[in-house]
Parts: sequence; C-alpha cells; structure tokens
Amino acid sequence: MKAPLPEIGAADFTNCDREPIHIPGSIQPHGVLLAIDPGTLKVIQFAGDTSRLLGLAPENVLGHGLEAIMSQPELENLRALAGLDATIPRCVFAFEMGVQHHGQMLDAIVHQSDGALVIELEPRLSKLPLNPLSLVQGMITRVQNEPESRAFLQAIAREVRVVTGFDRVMVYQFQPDDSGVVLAEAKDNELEPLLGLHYPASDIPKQARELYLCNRMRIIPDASYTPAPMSPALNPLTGKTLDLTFSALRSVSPLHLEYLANMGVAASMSLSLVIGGRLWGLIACHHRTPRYIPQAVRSAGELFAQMVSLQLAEKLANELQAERLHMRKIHAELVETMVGQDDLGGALIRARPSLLDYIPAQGVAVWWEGKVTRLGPTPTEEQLGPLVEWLNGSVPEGVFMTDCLASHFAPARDYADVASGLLALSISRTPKDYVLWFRPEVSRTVNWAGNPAKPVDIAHDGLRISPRKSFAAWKEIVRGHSTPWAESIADAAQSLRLSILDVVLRHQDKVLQERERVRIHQDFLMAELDHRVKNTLATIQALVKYSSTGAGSMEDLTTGIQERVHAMARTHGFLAQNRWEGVDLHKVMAEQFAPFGERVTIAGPKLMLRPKAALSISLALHELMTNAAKYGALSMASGLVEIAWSVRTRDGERGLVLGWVEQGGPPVAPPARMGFGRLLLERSLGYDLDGEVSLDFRHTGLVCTAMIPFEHVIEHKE
Amino acid sequence: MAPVAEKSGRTSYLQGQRILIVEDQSLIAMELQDLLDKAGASIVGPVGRLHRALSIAESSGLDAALLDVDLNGERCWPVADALSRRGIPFAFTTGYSNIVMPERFARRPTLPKPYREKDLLAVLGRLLGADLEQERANSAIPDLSGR
Repeated sequence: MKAPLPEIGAADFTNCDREPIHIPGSIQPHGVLLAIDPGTLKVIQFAGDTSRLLGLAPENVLGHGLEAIMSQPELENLRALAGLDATIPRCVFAFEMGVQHHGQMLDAIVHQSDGALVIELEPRLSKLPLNPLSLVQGMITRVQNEPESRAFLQAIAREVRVVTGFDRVMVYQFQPDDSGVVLAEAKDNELEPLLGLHYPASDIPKQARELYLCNRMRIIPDASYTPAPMSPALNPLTGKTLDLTFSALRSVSPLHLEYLANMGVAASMSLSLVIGGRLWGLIACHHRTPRYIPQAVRSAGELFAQMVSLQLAEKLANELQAERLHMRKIHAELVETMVGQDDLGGALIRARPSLLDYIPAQGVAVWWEGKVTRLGPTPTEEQLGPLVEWLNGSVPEGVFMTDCLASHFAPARDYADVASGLLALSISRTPKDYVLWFRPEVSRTVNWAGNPAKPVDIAHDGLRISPRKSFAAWKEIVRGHSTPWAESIADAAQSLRLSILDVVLRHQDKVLQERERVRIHQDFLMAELDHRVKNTLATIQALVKYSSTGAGSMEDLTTGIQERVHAMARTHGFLAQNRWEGVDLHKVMAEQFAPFGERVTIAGPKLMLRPKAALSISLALHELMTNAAKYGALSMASGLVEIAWSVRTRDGERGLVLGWVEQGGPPVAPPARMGFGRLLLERSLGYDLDGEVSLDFRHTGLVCTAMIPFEHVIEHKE
Repeated sequence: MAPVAEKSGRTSYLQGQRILIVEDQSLIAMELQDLLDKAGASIVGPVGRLHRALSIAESSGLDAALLDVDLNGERCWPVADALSRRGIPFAFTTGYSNIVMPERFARRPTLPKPYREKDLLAVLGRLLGADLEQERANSAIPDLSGR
C-alpha cells in the first residue's frame, strides 16, 4: 500500500522527479565531447576544453573533420563505426588515441545518439597498462566463494574498494517503496559507518533510477566541477538538445552535486546491480577528494557489476527458496499445534516457532471466540475490541494489509507507535475470529540517513530544495507508517489462513457432531426412561390389584404394597448408580437381607445381572423373604436361610442356578392354595426371565431352586 | 362406542373371542389375562418372547391381538406383520410416549401404558366390531395414544 503524498512540500519532491537529467546540455569538464555527422564525419556539436585537452581552439572544431587530432587508422576506425548498420546504443570503448598536444594519451569512447556519432575523449591519467578482463577475473575469483548473499555483498564492496581505491564503497539496495538501505560497506577507518542506514526514495529520484538501468555506470571525478556547455546548444540534426543518456561525461543534476557536497563527497562512481531487468541496487563509491578512475578500471567495474548481478540473482533465488521451505515448515508446525486443541487462539500464540517467525512483525494477537491472546508489542485488549469490530464491519474476509492503519481506522492513531502496520487474517467463515500482526511506526525501527534536526544551510534559488532537508520531509511522510508488507507475505498469510480455516472448520464439525451425538443419546435415554417408568407404573398398578388377594386387613395390604414397591425402588436405585447397565447380584442380596444379619448366608461367584433380571430376581427374593419371615425360617430366631448360586450347563444351555434353602424354622407343609406371593415369584422368574422355578416344601424348611438363562447375566471379565 | 358390560361382568363382544396377549412383563400380562378372562374372552398366551408370539400369530386361530411393542429389547413388528397378513385385527400397547411407528402400522390403534380397563375394552371392541377394510375406509378412529 503506497503512502499518500503529504500536503506539505509536495512541490519540493516532484521537483526532483521532474528534472530532465538525460538532456543537461552540458558535460563534466574533465573530457571533451564531440558530436559528429556520420555522413561527413564533421563535428556538429561539441563541449569541453578542446584547447587544453586537444590543443584545438574552439573555432577550429565546429564544422571541421578530425584529421587534426586523429591518425589515419583512427579515422578509419571511426568511419567503420559510423558505417555500422546497427546502432551503438551503449558506450563502446573504441580506441585509445594519442593527441599531439603535450603528447597526452586519450581514451576515445563512441556511441550513437539522436542520429549523431558521439565521441567522448578523456585523458588517460594512469600510467599503468591495465587489462580490464584480467582485472575482472581476479575480482570475481575473490568474491564468488561467499555462499550467503550478505557476505557476498560485503565481499563485493571490499573488492571494488581494493581495485578502485575509493574511500567508501557501499552496496545499496532499493526497497519495494524505492527507498534504499545500505547492505554492505567497505570504508576508510576514519569515515563514519553508513551500513544499515535507510535513504528516502527521493534521494535517487525516479528518472535517475531509470538512467541507472540504461547506463549502468556513472562517474563523477570531481563533484565541484563547473559544467561545460554544448556548443551549439541544440543538435543541428534534430534541432533539440542532444540526448546524453549513454554519455560517460554527462553533467549530473545540480541537486545531486549539492547532495554529494553535503555528504562531504568529492568524487563518486555508481555501478548498477540489475536483476531480472529491474534495478536491484547500486554499488556506490565515494571519495573525499577528487578521484579519477581509468577507463580500464571502469570497464572492469561495469563488467564485474554485471557478473555479480547474475551471481547475486542466483544466491537470492536460492535463499528465497530456502526461506520458502523454512516458512512451509513453520506453517506445518503451526497447523500441527492447533489440531485437536479447543483453544485454537491460545495454541497459536503458544506455538514455537511462533506466528512472528512466520510473518515478520513485532507483535501478534489472536482474537478467538471473543478471547484475545497476545505476543510482543500490540494494542491493548481494550483497543483491540473496537479494531476487530471495525474489521468485521468494513473489511472483506481474507487478508487485509496496511502500512498506515490510522488512515483506514482513525482510532488507531492512538497506538500508531505499536500498530502503524496491520496484517489481519480472518480465520473463521463468519469473519469474527482474527490473527492480527502489528508493525510499529517506521521511524522506531529504521535508521534514517541524515539528521533532520541538523539541516545543512545551503544557498539555493528557492525553487530547489537541498537533499538534506528532504530527510526531514521524509520523516513527515513516514509518520504513522510502518515498513510496507511485501506481496510474498500476503501469499504466506493467505496460505496460513486456508490451513487455519480447515482446522477451524474441522474443529467446528467435531463440536457439532459431538453435540448431535449427545442429543441423540439423550433423546434415546429419555425414551427408554419413559418406557421404563410407564412399565413400572403398569406393574405397580397390577401389584396393587393383586396384593389385595389374600391380604387380611387394610394394614396388611398397605404394608404388602409398600414392601414390594420398596424392593423394586431399591433395585432401580442400584441400576441408576450403574447407568442402567447392570447390578452386582451379591449387592442386591446383601442389601435385601442385611436386617437378618448372619442368619442369612449368601455365597456365589461375582456376576452382574442385566436390568430386567435384577428387578425380577430382587422381587422374587422379596417374596421368598416375606414368606420366610411370616411362616418360615425367618419367623423364628433359630431359623437360617442359605442362598447360593452358581453357573451351570444343562442340556447344552448355560444358566444361573439360584438356590434358597430354609432350615431351623417351624415345620413346613405345602400350602393349600396358591398365594399371590408364590404367583409373583414363579411369574417373575418363569415368565419374565424365561427361567424355571421349583418349590419344595420340605418338612425342614422351604427349598426353592431357580434356573435363569445365562442371557440375563453380564459376564464378568477378570 | 362404549363397552357394553353385561350384569355378569362379561362383555358381549368378547364372548368366546380368542385374544392373543403379547406382553413381556408378567404382572401386566397377568392383569390383562384376568381382565379379559372375566370379560368372557378366550385367552391365547400370554407370551413375552418374540419368537413364541410369532409362531402363535402365524398359526393359531385368533380373533384379535394385543401387542406390546418392546419385547425384552426387541420390537414386535414381525408379529404385527404376521397378523396383518392373516387379516387379524390388533392393537399395540407401549410405555413409549413418542414412539415412531413404521409407516405400515401408523393407523393401527395404540394403547399407552399404564392403561385403564375401559380404554382397553373400547379398543378391543373397535378391533372386533369392524373388519380392517372398514377401518381403513373410516379414518375417524379416536386417537388413544395420548399424542
């Protein structure tokens, strides 16, 4: 997201961007420029001190041929270049030539522009014979072993400084917003380091960046020069100012000279680093005193810059790939942390590597189901509430990025210090849950070159501003802004969002399924309970009706019903304790016969009865007990009852055999008629459980034997 | 139609009628049996097991049947199907309040437990007083399920 241009000083910035620097109409005076008509080979325009450098008075230059300063072979060379069909857009190191005047050697560089052949002549100041190719070979050999891009850039700076002898060599990278940062630096010890400093985009205006892309080397041997004007001012072939885009001697912007002077730079050289047709950065060389770089070294430097650009591209691509793999790993780990967690927000914040390792930011908050968890500097919980509300109402779901939150959401002005930049990720289908990454105001994280508090006084004509003052204005632009979010970050965030959504949806599905399962189960339980209650009521209805048979008095009737209902209720109680799964037979007995103490003995293997069997058996036992207490062994203090059970197989059918043996009671005789108690006993075991019951009215006491089908028993797994 | 009870306690339309009782709770079955016995009916059963009820429903001579829906955890639908095939009228008895009946039994009368004597006799009267064809034509069977 681009920052809007500020109200203040807007004109000052566009000033730089408007300056037509490719047609300055003048050159730097350390050389001579001759524009030649390719047909006649006569000079049609020139600039520079021809008298001093060529021994030619200006009046003997314009309209003349070059016979006076060039040998016959050199003229032949020139003629051949002029006759080439192909244009010569870039500078061509054509030849070196000797000038008779003072015996000075000159380098001649030739290119075409606006239909003219442009020859630039510079005195060769170095006495050393230099071979550009072997120079480049040596430089490349010394830097190429650095595998990591930062170290590689550092080696580049060091190597360029060694070969060129500049005081300071920096590798400067353009950021997505065209501001720049110094990534590597080799310098004289006395100089203040500039490594890591950021420069506003206006320092190297747009048309300068475009020129760096066309002409990948620019040199200013003496920044205090007085420009030498073109004569005549306009190219007679076109009637316009000659285009000096590809000129080595092109006079640079007075603004740039001012800028260099402010920095204490007297000489400079810039080599372009171009990756994928885009100006990636510059190798920027500065010197505190005027410095001339021989043509061979310049050629070597230009070639070196091209070659390291290629190597750099490869290293950056590798590092990007490694970074992507790393991100993918963090991504996977983050997602893994969330799976199976109910508190997804907390899980995301606690995850290591963290959300901040995934998206480079200073703080992160997760807003999950109305709860907020935070990591690093973020707005407060009270501030986050309205922000999330605003996001919900105003921002479409997905990824939202801004480097100036306050321009979208005014209340964010209050916490611009921690949250000028926001990356918001909606992580549920109804966008109410968010991951929010925050970046602070840029001036808090970045070193800005230049000190706006100490503006440098420079006389100017009131139309142009000094580069130093641009820093102060730049600070105003970046107020309330964070460093911008790269597009690759949006992709990474989007991909994380999809993964989180997936986990969230699965989580929600699971919760819904679980709720549905519980509901169905509860409905089932309710229906079963209803069924049991109704059947119990129907059973009691029958109990009431039959209990009256044989009951002597109203009191007997009431007691009989009460006891039977109580026996049923007790077994219901046991079943309820065990979630209606079953009851321990021993427990049923022990509870029922507790009042008789040791007179009733209970013995048998541990086993569980299914609910219906538990109810029937306890009712049957109740009838036996009531009978024994009234007429049998339990009616006398001497009487005893032995209850025993075992699991037996008879005729291939397994069954539970229950025995009830009374002794020590009054003598027993078979009853004359079938009482209700006996009916109940026989029916509940025989009919309800499909068992067999036999009653033996022995003289010594009643013996009851029952065989219950084993389906009523839950086998005890030991 | 109110049940017509004779002075003797017998109910005219139940005289000699063979009624199958399918009920897995012995006390409830006993009560039913007594009640219908007194009313003059001839009881078949009672039975509480699905397989036994099914074999009776398939082969015994019956005039009507009362079917408990839940038989020791099994549904009585096979018995109802056998009776339907033979054109023997029947009514369900059940303790479930909101039981969802199979579509084919949706119009069969259902007697919720615990039931009153007069409701039981009224349902049996309806079963014996009209054949199934007429019952289908006349959808105005009073809803006794309590729903």
